[in-house]
Amino acid sequence: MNKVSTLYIIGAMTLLTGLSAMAQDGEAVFKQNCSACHKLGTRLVGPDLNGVIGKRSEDWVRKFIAGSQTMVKAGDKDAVAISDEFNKMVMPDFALTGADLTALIGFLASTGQQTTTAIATTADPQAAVAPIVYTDEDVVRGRAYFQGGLSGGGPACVSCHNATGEGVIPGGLLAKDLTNVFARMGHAGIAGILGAPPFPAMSSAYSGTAALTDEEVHSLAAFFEHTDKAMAGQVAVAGGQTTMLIWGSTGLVVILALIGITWKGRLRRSVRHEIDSRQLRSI
Amino acid sequence: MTLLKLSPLLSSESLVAYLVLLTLILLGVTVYMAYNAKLIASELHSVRPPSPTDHSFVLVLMLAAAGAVTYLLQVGLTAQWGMLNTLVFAALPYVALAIFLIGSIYRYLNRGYQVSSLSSEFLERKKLFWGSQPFHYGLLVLFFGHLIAFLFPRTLLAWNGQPMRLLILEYSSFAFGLAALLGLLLLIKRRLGNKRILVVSNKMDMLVYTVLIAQIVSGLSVAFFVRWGSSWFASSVTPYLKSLFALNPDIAAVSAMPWLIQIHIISAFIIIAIIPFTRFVHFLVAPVDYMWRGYQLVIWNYGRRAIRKSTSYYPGVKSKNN
Repeated sequence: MNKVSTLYIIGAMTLLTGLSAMAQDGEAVFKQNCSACHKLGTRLVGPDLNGVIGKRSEDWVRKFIAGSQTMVKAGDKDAVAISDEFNKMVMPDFALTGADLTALIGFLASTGQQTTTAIATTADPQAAVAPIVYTDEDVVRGRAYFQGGLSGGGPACVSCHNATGEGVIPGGLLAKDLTNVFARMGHAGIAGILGAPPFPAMSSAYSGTAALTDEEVHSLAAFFEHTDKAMAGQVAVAGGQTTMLIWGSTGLVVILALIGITWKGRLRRSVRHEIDSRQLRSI
Repeated sequence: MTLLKLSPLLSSESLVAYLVLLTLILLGVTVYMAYNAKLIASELHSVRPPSPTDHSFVLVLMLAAAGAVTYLLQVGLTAQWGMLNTLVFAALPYVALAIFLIGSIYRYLNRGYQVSSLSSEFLERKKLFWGSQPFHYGLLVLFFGHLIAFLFPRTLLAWNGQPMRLLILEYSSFAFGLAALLGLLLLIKRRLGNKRILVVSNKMDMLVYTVLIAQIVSGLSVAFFVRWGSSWFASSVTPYLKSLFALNPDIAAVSAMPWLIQIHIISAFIIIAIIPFTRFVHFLVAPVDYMWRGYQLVIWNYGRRAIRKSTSYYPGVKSKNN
């Protein structure tokens, strides 16, 4: 073996290991950021991403990851079609750094080169996993978790979300209504979002020790399945505004009354008036 | 320019038209002022009393300006124009804090007797009571509510962990917000409707009213339209505020929040920034020591002769001769 061919082999090996390392990075980025809603070979919450780089240009995918809603609003034909196909579900914007994004694109491109049959047999989560069963206790516990008492000390779901159902207070209006979330996302989608929330406000609320346990996620999914069934086909309305206005106004009246009572003995007329009247009486 | 086209009212063409209009107005004002200056120069020998400021007009102008700024911010923040988010959530807080600290120290050292809010209770008392009381108690409760959510977020979240307690907290906070708004409106009505008080008013008072209206109205709207803020403040805004104090601003969460909340946050920073230049400064010298100082002996001129002749007079005990 001469020197030149040795060099070639070393070079090729370096290149190969480098490539595979990059692919692995891309897979890690995919798992961390995308896998809550996307799978390869099947559609989950969002579309199947197998071979997406072939279907769309790399540039288009980069733009979509950075700001999908911007593209939809700007009227990009493909973006609008996808948004419509998935019930206008919003994909959060991902501010991935250059290296991560390149690795992710590389990973997505590499998936397209494999034969679809090979992936379809290995990556079909619905077929591989036994159907999840929810008990009534799960629903009860989920309802409780929805309104507080999460073991990690994170905020109750009801702080920002509404889910119309029996025994649930009118929910928050900061984030999306979750009454029918089960129909939109299913167990996998819910578990994915709760495991690694892609929304900045939510991820900062459940980061670190505040993360949800598997049991909590399961119970919540059971609760959402329940509300979805109970409200099937109906448009969920959060309500509760009138109650808030009534209690707010009542509280205002109470505050004013308290102020009036507390300062009942305040000086109502001038000091001069008091002096004069006193002098008149003492004459 | 694609971002600009997101808003139908603010396309790039109308932006140009708007700027042209603004330039024309500025030109007009300049010419008018130059003309006025000439008039004044010609009448220099005659002494005229300074014309009183029309404070109602100033307030309306400021409110209109605040509305325009709010609208622009809403459009800009929703469309995420350039560096706007970084500017208002990462830079503005430090600028505001710097102005507040330096300005307050300067005012205290150089105009120490003006570190107050120029009481007008002597000029008008009855209307002041029903304006000032609900306003101040409303604001105090809400201020400490925000402070507790910032300092003890876990405690607050634990309290809110039961739905009934969450509702009680939210509804009562909303009531205090309504009290603050009612009090503020009564105070504005009082100041603008009383000639004595108008004499001791200035333009900065109108600015105070403007930012307070913006702050309270946006706060009430947040509580009503983006509700259960007591919980999400503790979980998502507190980390942002802490990151500010750690000198490592993390604006991802607040950047993604609805514009009402963003306006509320921005106007809070603006309030902090204008403290040294306005009557807001009195909150730095709030008479907190009233709570623990000994009572003061106030002697009224009751019947002096009766008191002198009394055999049962003790200092500090009110004489009951009439």
